[in-house]
Parts: sequence; structure tokens; C-alpha cells
Amino acid sequence: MEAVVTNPVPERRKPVVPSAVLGTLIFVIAEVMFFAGLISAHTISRAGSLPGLWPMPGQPTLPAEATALNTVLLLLSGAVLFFGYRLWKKQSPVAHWVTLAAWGLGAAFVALQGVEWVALLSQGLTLRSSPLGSFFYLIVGGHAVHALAALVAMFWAWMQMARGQLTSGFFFGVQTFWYFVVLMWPVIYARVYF
Amino acid sequence: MSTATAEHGHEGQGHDAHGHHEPQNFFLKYFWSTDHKIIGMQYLFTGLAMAVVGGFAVYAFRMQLAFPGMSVPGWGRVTATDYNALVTTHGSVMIFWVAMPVLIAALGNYLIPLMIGCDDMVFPRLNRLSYQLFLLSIVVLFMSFYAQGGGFGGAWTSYPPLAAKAEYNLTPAGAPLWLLAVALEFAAFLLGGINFVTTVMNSRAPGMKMFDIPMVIWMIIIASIMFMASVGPLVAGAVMLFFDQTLGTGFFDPNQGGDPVLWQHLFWFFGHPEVYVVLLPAMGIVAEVVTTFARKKLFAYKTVLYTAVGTGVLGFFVWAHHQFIAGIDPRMANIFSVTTLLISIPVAEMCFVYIATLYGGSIRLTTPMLWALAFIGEFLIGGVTGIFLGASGADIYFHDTYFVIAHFHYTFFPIAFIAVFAAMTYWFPKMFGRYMNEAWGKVHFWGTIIPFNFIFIPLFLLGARGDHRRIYDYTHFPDLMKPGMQDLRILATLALVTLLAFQLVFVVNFFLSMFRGKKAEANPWKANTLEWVAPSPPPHGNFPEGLPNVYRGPYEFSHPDRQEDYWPQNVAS
Amino acid sequence: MNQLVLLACAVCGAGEDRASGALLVMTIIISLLPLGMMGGLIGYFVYQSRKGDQAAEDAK
Ligand code: HEM
Ligand SMILES: [Cu+2]
Repeated sequence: MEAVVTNPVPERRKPVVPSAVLGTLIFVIAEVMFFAGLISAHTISRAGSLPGLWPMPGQPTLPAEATALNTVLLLLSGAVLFFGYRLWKKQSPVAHWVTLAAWGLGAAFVALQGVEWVALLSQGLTLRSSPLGSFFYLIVGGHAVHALAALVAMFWAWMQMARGQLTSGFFFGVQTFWYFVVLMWPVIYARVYF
Repeated sequence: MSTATAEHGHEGQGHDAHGHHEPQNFFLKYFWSTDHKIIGMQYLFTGLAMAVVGGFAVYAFRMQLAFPGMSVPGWGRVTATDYNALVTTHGSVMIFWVAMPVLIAALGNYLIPLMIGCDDMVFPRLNRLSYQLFLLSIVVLFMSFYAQGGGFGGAWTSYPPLAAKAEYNLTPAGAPLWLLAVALEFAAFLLGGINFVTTVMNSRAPGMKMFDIPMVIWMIIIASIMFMASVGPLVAGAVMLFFDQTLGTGFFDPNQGGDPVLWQHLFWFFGHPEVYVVLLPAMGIVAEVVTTFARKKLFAYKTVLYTAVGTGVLGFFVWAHHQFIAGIDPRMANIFSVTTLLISIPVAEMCFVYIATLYGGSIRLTTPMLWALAFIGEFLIGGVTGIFLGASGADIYFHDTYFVIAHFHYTFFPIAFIAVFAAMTYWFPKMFGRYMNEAWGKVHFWGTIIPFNFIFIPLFLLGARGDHRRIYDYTHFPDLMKPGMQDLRILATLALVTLLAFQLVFVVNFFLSMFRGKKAEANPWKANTLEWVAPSPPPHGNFPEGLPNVYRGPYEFSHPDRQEDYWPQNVAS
Repeated sequence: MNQLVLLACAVCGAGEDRASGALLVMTIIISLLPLGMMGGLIGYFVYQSRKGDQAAEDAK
């Protein structure tokens, strides 16, 4: 038996892609597939419905124009967050205010969506009223749940940043997740509202 | 690296967490540990315990098929509702709560850090959370058994409208709870999968290049990636089905403008990749065992790796072969027929590579080797009959007969049991520091393999004669009974009972060897991979003499320049 | 329930091109999407690690 040669003080492998980054990216891929499933189901069901039944007669159409504003707000939020990240890397003192602005824009998006839901519900579009309603609440609601979770995480990141304790791994995770929420939305908007 | 947040404490240089003593308290040590070996063991023992549940279910409903109307010892009379619930439980437990946890989660957790030469997973707490979610999923599953109306009986595929409407399935609570349990289990494996991929990519021992990674690790990684990429649409479908069940939406209900076949698409989009998710780790186990006991280098390492990747890619394009007669567009059926026939090429190729590895080796027929060889032989039968089913014309007749059942058990049993037994007997000395008894191991081997074939060859014959897989009691359909069919059913059931009885040999051998077996040294099989460098069993932190350095690939057996016939990866020259 | 809605079932309309066309397109997208995303990630990773291995070789 040969003496087993081990390295007493091993140099550790330098991660090719940092673990937090890799983990978050894989998670986001799985999430994209979740929405891909929902959206494809919606597309197929819609294509299979008879002409004139989507939306059902007597039911409201989705307010595509009004939602355009929300969409812009959300996209803006993503851009502002990226800007905040750049400032943070340069250790700018205003970075956390920019980040908070991104958070505010995101929160405004969620709030406006909530207002829209209340209006639609009062006009008779419910989860059970038609396939369109079911898919609308399911997909947009699924997106909203992700947006809310991301907002909580982003708020946490903002507090850490203001205290100067934010770690780049956590911030990367939050950013990636928020960009996912932001970029998923235009796809949902285009498929579901029109 | 400055990214070490609380969760990522084990990343990069943040490993000083291992300096302190591990908790001594029994509960903290075995139930609240973040040590990958403990978590692997938790998954292993939970998975094996669930195998008992799945095994009991199959015993009960097979007895009903062989002897309709009898009072089954241990269960009583199997009613039609019981029968449906038992079949569903058997299928879903064996796939989601036995094969997945044992092959991916248990082996992945136990082996990855040891075989790539590091001290723990990258995200140890995520890992613990993964197991806890898994345990929760089991609790929810058991709740569904005892819920009002009984356990869910809509088959493991859970097709609507049967699964969606309580009027049809008569399990208003059991159906949604079952679905919830499956969803929780997926969440657990998602966390696990992220951990596996990240760990292998970032924590490999210095010197270990991509092509020095042992095959079983590659296979687990490819399987995890496939799982994570395919599970999303199924979760989406599960949410829709859950809404249909509980909130009264009509996603899958044609009466409300929905589409029941949509569920089948979403299910099988995951369902077929899932079969490769469990196949690949099993193939990896066989690669390790075959090379070690043939004392030969793995034939064509890179080919196997690329083949596995190819299988992973193709695996996304075959799912509609489960729906050939579900009303899909016939043009689509043609395409999926072709892809299905294509995918048997890489699968067969892996088997042939193992056979080529055996050629000219000095083969030692130890128990793990017997299991590995049996895997190749039995799995080939499963793969070949898959080709019959993949031809859409033939499948019109075979679909939903016992031929399908026999096909997928010839694939699934080798994967979930034969390969797992190979793995357990092979790594047992590492896990527990003792040898398993060889003689009893061989008794168990033959006592499993022979009855296994006596169960499923009769099912092939039955299926070819048109025996439908969802009929509870054939005495109600005398015109469908051909002479001799009941005899075949009885033969299969008796073989099943024999097989189950022989598992006792394994259980006794396992636990006796754990405490009484001959003590094993660090490298009992004279294998090359890094887990054999660590002491048996490995302590917390795995490598007390320092983490190993890697100098070569994992399969350098019988190298001409060396006296010994093996060449561990960590030995410099 | 509205009787007309009954006819909205996509299976009943499987022969109709607009339904099967949507199914085909979605099938293609949903099959290629995971492969594309994972392929991108893996490609990026392999590229990075090749660079890393090369740097390690050079250092020797
Ligand atoms: C060589 C590769 C394979 C081919 C060509 C193949 C083909 C098929 C086909 C065409 C069917 C559908 C039969 C029907 O329902 O009418 C089927 C069913 C099935 N196959 Fe395979 N298969 C292969 C490998 C595997 C593997 C490796 C597994 C591993 C677990 C597996 C598990 C299953 C299961 C579970 C079902 C039945 C699902 C159900 O309806 O409950 N197959 N296979
Ligand atoms: Cu399949």
C-alpha cells in the first residue's frame, strides 16, 4: 500500500461562477419554466376556444391600455435597480436611495395591479366566471406572488445596504430575482392582455 | 470571495465553520444536522421505509387480482375504492418517495462531497431544509390516506377529469392532499438539485478537472438539471389542477371551457424526463461498480458522458409517446414515434459500453457486481420493449395493457431496486465501516432476481393478450377472459410474494452487518475514487488528513506501469 | 353552464388547425426553452472553467 499523498493545506478551488450566482440562476431557470407552463397552457386553451368566446360575451375585456402604465413602471424599476447596483459598486452614498426608488416603483406596480383586480372583480370577471378569468387570475396572480416575495427581499437588501452590511452574494440573488420578475412581465402582458 | 452571507457560509473560504465540534445531542446530531452524510442517510432510510409502504400496497392489490374477492391477510377485503387507492399509492410512492429520494437525494448527498473531495455541500442549510420539506411531504401524503373519503385513487398520473372532480374520484380531501404532497416533494428536490449542481461545479478537489469527475456524479448532475428544467410546467399544471379541485375553476374541465388533455401534456412533459432522471444515476452506479470489479478502465468515458447529455436533451422530445391515443394530432404522434425510437440508441449504447468494459477484465462476482450485471441484463429487456411501445402503430394496441406495466417495471425495478442494491452493497463499508455479509447478500440477490422475472414475464404475456391495466376484478368481465390468463396472474402474484419475502433477508443482513459485520478498512474494494480515501465511516468534515488533491481520472485500473492494479485519484505518482 | 362553452374543448376541436397549430408551436417553444437556458448556462460555465483550467496549467 502506497502512502496516501494528501495535500495538508489544500488550496481551495476558486469557483468558476460564484455559488450564490449559480444557485440563483438555476432557480430562475426553473421559475421561467413554471411560467412557460402556465403561458403555454393559456395559449393552447385560448386557441382551442370557439370564436367569440374569448372573452366571453358579457364579460369585461382586460384593460390593456391602463396596464401599459404599470408595465412601464415595472420596467423602469428594473432599470433603476441596475443603476443602483452600479452606484453601490462604486460605493456611492446615494446608492441606497436609488435602490429604494426601484423598490417604490415595483411596489407601485403591485399596488396598481391590485386596483385593477378590484375593478375587474366588481365588473364580474372572477376566477370561475370563464376560462379567461381563471387564466388571468392564475398567471397574473402567480406573477404577483413572485413580485411580492421579491419586494420583501429587496426591502431587506435595501436595509442592509443603508447600514453598509449588504453582501454581494445576497444582492446578486435579489437583483436576479427582481430582473426575472421584471422581464417575465412583458411576456405575460403580451400574451394575456391582448 | 466576499459573498459569504449567512446562508452561504460554507462557500469558498468560509469553511472555518467546521472547526468547532459537531453537536453531540442526539436530536441535533441526527435530525438537525447540516452534514451531507447525515442528510443522505436521512433520505436513504426514509426512502427505504417508504419502499415498505409501496411494497405493502402492491402486495394488497396484486392479491386481489390473483384471488378476486379474497380477504387479503393484513388488509382485508380489497374494495374497488381500496384497489384504486392502493394502485395510486404504489405508483406514486415508488416513483416520488422511493426512487427519487434514494437515487438522487440520498446518493447525491452522501456521495457528491466525498467523491469530489470536499467537506460538505455548498449550501448546507438549504440541504437540511430540503430534507425537512421532503419529510413534510410524507406527512401530507399520509394525511391524504386518512382523510375523509380515503386516499386518492386517480393513478400516479392523476388525469383529470377523474382527478379534478370529487364527484368522480370520491376523495374530496385525498386528491388535493396528494397533489400538495407531490408539490412539496418537488420543492424539496429543487433545493437539493441546486445544491448538487453548485457543489460539483465549485467545490471539486484541486486538480479535479471536468473529465476526472466520477461517472455517477456526472449522472446525478445531469439528472438534477433535467429535473429542474422539466418540473416547472408540471408544477404549473399541479396548481391548475389544485384550483380545479378546490376552487372550482375549470382549467381541465370541458364543461367550463377547459381542456383535459392539457394536463397530460403538462404531466408528461415532466413525466418522461423524470424516467431519465432516475435512470441516469442508476447508470452511474453501474459504471462505478463495473469498473471496480472488472478492474478495468471504463470503456469510453467521454462517450458515456456525451451520451448521457444526449439522452438528457432527447429526453425532452419524447413525452407525447404516452398520449398516442389520447386524441393528439396524428402528425405529432409520428414525430414523437421517431424521437422515441431514437432515444433508445443512447440508452442501449450506455449498456454496451458497460459490456465492453467487462470484456477482458478480471471480473470478481461480488454481490454489488452481481447486482450491476443484473441491471444491465434486465434493463435491456425494459428498453427493448420500450421500442415496441414507441412505435405508435403498435402502441394503439398495447396502450394501457399489462404490456406497458411490464415494460416500465423492467426499466424501473432495475433502476429503483437493482441499481440501488448495487449501490448499497458497494458503499455499505464506507457508510458504516463494516462489510455486509456476502453469502446472505447472494441469497438475497437470487431471491430477488428470479421472482422478479417471474412477476413480469407473465405480465408481458397477459398484456399481449389484451389484459387491461385498470381492471379491478376480471370475474366481472368473463368475455374478456381467455383461458390461462388467471393462471398467469396468480403466477405473477406468487412470485411477488416470494420477492417481498426475500427482502427480509436484506433487511436482516443490513442491520446485522451494520452492528456486527466484519470491520472494513478505508478502501475495501481497492477502488480509485476519492470517497475511499476518507476513513470508513467518514467523520464530520470527511477528510481528517486534509482534503485530497487529484492527479488523474477515476478509472485507472490495471495500469501497465504499476504493480498494484489500481491507481487512486489522489496519489501523486 | 353556457351550452356554447361545451364546444370550447380543445380535444373536440383537435382536428381544427388553429388549436393544433397553437399546440405545435407551444410544444416547440416549451421543449427548446429549458434546453436553451440550460445550454446557455452550461456553455458559459464550460467556457469559464476552460479558462480556469488553462490558467492553472500555465501557472505550473
Ligand atoms: C429505451 C427507452 C424507452 C422507450 C423507448 C420507452 C417507451 C415507452 C412508451 C412508448 C411508453 C408508453 C406506453 C403506453 O402508455 O402506451 C412508455 C411507458 C412508460 N415508461 Fe418507458 N420507455 C423507455 C425507457 C423507460 C425508462 C428508462 C423508464 C424508467 C423508469 C420508463 C418508464 C416508463 C413508465 C413509468 C411508463 C408508463 C407510464 C404510465 O402510463 O403509467 N421507460 N415507455
Ligand atoms: Cu416516456
